Amino acid sequence: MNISEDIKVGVVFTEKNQPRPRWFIWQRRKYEIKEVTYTWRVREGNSLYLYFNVTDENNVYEISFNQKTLKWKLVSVREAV
Amino acid sequence: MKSHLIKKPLNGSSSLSGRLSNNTDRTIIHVDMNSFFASVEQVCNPKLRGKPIFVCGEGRTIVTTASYEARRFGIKTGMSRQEALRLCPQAVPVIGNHRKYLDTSERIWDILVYYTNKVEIFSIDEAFMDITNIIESFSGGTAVARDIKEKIKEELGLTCSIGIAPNKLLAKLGSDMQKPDGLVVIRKEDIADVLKDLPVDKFCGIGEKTKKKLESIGIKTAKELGDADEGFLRNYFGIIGHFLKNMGRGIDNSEVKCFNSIETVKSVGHSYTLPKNTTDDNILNSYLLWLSDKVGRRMRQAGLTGRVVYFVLRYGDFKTLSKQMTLKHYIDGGHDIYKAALRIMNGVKPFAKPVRLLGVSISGLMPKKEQLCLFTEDKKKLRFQKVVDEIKDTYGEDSLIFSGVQLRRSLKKSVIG
Repeated sequence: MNISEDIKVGVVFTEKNQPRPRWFIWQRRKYEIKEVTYTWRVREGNSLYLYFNVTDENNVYEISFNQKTLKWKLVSVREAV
Repeated sequence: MKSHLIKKPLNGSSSLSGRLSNNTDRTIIHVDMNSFFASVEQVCNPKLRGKPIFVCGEGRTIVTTASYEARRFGIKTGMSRQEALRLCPQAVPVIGNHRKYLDTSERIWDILVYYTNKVEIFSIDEAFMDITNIIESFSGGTAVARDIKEKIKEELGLTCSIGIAPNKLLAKLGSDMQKPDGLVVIRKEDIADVLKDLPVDKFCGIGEKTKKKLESIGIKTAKELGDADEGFLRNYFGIIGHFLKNMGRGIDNSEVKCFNSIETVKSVGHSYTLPKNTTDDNILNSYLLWLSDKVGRRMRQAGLTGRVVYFVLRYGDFKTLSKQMTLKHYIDGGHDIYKAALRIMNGVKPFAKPVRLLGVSISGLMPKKEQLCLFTEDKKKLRFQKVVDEIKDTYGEDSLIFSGVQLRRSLKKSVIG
């Protein structure tokens, strides 16, 4: 399911200075991230987006961070199957 | 990680490094990611790991990659989604994300370039490396290969198969011999044994048509191909006969090109499976314009221009036809590509059946040079193109589209919902 809605995200930076989302709040509900399974980058115009596949064990969420506007978005939710 | 050595098992890698570090010998590696798109999706979603899955597009599209678990049920690349699900109802279709795979690909090339700049990208998930000059510092070619496999696994969670051989042809053959997660070494003294009973279509470059032609003249194995008279092969296949003869003998003198070398890009193209089969001119033209614009944009981004326009069309029954046209001038503009592709498509009409897929690509590429425009019209066109590219660079690819492409969007919406 494609969502594309703004979210609040709690992030820690690893020793290698890599951002690792720990939780996010979407529609007033807090989702604890159990695992960041994949990350990738996409350039869209002059904005660079960081994408994260994260899971709370029930679902796989795709969240993105726009490095220019500093906004986080929930891009999509998929059932983990 | 599995490791497979042809004929003589190597103890460590000393014999390999000792022999292949000789100046006259080359050590070539072929790295092939295992069921690339599907493996990325299995890393992304832990619950898909170990399950039959296949990556496809939205709606009714074809399988772009199947996981090894799905391949066991007979699911193959190019198969329709319905056919795949008929073969394995429990298989999970995953909508592909090309940008994710492109970024992953770039990260893999970053890992390879760490070893040497002699890295030639062969496709989104395959590359050749010439490691001749670095094997000493790694105590052998197998050590380099193992290191690469470990780094890719550690950084991306993905596996690859690697072939090591004295040339590209045999390295590619080696990586195909053991999948997934294989490591195959073909040494000089192993070549004759490897080629002895090898079916000719195991070579990269020999497809179904060439295989049948070879069979019709009694050639089934690589050895038979290598033993055939070159004059006879040349008469039968033209200049390709020379290369076929070399293939049969395991000879390939082609160099591994340097990373980011412009020569490594052979063509730029896009194809698309339509949301539903159609013979409607307006719809087909709209898709053709969209594809041509994407091709032109990518060429300009890569600083390339080309003059061979290739058009491919697939009917609903999967019968595929392709035609190409060589232009007098080099082009890189979406609309110019569209005009050429449209001329080819119009030559194919009337369509025998409703069309399922369209594709456009450009080859005969060369680096673009700034040219002085003699005519005002050309000058205007160039300026226009530059402004369009600047807008897309700033606001993204979909920020500006040809109005003719709009029809494609509305059709897609009405079918996908």
